[in-house]
Amino acid sequence: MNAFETCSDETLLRLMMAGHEEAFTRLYRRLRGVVYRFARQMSGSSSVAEDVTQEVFLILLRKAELYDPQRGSLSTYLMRITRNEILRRLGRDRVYVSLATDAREEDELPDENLIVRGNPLGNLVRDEEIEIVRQAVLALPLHYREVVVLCELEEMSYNEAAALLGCAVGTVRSRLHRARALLKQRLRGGEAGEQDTPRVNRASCLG
Amino acid sequence: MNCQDFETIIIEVARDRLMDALERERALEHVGACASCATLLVEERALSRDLRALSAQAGAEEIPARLETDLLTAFRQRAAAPSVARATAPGRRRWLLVAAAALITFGLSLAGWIALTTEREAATTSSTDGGIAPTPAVSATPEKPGQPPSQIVAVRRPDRPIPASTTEKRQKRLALAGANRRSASNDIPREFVTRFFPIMQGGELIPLESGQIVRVRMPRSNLATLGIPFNQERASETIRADVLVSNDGLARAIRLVY
Repeated sequence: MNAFETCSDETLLRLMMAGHEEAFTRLYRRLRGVVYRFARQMSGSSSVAEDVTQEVFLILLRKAELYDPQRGSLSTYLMRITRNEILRRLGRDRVYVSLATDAREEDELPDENLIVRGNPLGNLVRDEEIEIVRQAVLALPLHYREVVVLCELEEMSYNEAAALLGCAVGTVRSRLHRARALLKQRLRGGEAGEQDTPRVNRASCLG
Repeated sequence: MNCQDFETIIIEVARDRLMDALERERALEHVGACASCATLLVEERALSRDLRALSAQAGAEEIPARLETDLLTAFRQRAAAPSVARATAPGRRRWLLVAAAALITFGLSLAGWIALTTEREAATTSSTDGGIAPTPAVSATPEKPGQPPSQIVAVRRPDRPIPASTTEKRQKRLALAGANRRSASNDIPREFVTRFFPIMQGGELIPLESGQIVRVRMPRSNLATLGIPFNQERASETIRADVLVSNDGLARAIRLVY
């Protein structure tokens, strides 16, 4: 067994900073998946995900000393960098929403083609079904999309997601409720989730 | 548990995540009794299933190997960069070198200035010591017959002999400085002096607590008796000299004045 396999992420980082190429390789192979998937699910583009992944690890190479273990795990640190990169590429202005905006208007689908009507999940083959789900997730506003990606697709806890996003756990929970309601609506074309949908204070959790 | 309470935890129930066992049991009891909440739970579970499928597919997606290759290249370049930087002195170290050089330059300048000042003062009061060559001095006033000779007020301590090389350097520096100073003022006559040559038997200068310098004029031919080479063609000419006379009245040393 390679000695590096048993090392913690933080130990690998220190070794990497000391110039150990193998440590960097191990670290990259451990963490590339979560970074790439997060970027892929948020952007919907493999090429963007590749660019973001590369940029994130280049930033780690250049500014490894900025990582503070007191503030969270290395993977959370990288996810935070990833999120910033994604928001930068997707256009950060899109996530800033006026507090006076009605949540129902704000949550309207941006693209009519992404609306799935009927019961497509029962009629399409599995890959097509997954693609539809993917498109539905991509159609979510960014602040809902990221909690779905983090909590549902990456199976992060509410606490982890809140730490990464820089907001309260309750905010994450409420956003996830709202996001799932929107997803159900869009995937099945029903009215589910529209009842009693709370307004979200989006400005409180933009990280 | 009522419908409102159930809706607050329906996602946790649908996702089959860890939750309080008692709360979960109550939620399932409510579902068994409430058809609308049971329908909601079915929908939520279906959504969770879809999202898990999406997650599984995303997890199976391969990341291009060239990413790792490119990053390793970048890592190697960065790993090589610091050694080059070290070889060429990093910014902080460069500043330290500059500061050290400036400090050394300042120190040398200060030492030189102090030496110049000391020698000038010694020269104006005339001085000598037991070393090979007392520091040359320039008399600021022309020779005047009848003027009392200047008093020697300071003599270098015998336990601190001046190295010959240092003395010679000082002589050159002082000669140059003296020349510069005099050239700055036409009122001051140009005058150069040699080091003191011992006159006493044995040819060694002995330390003096005090003494006097007497400016004299003598034939050049007298230089031969002192063992100082001179130009034979100008043997009949006179030359000025400073004679160092100790308190016992004996001439101890002589230097030539040009």
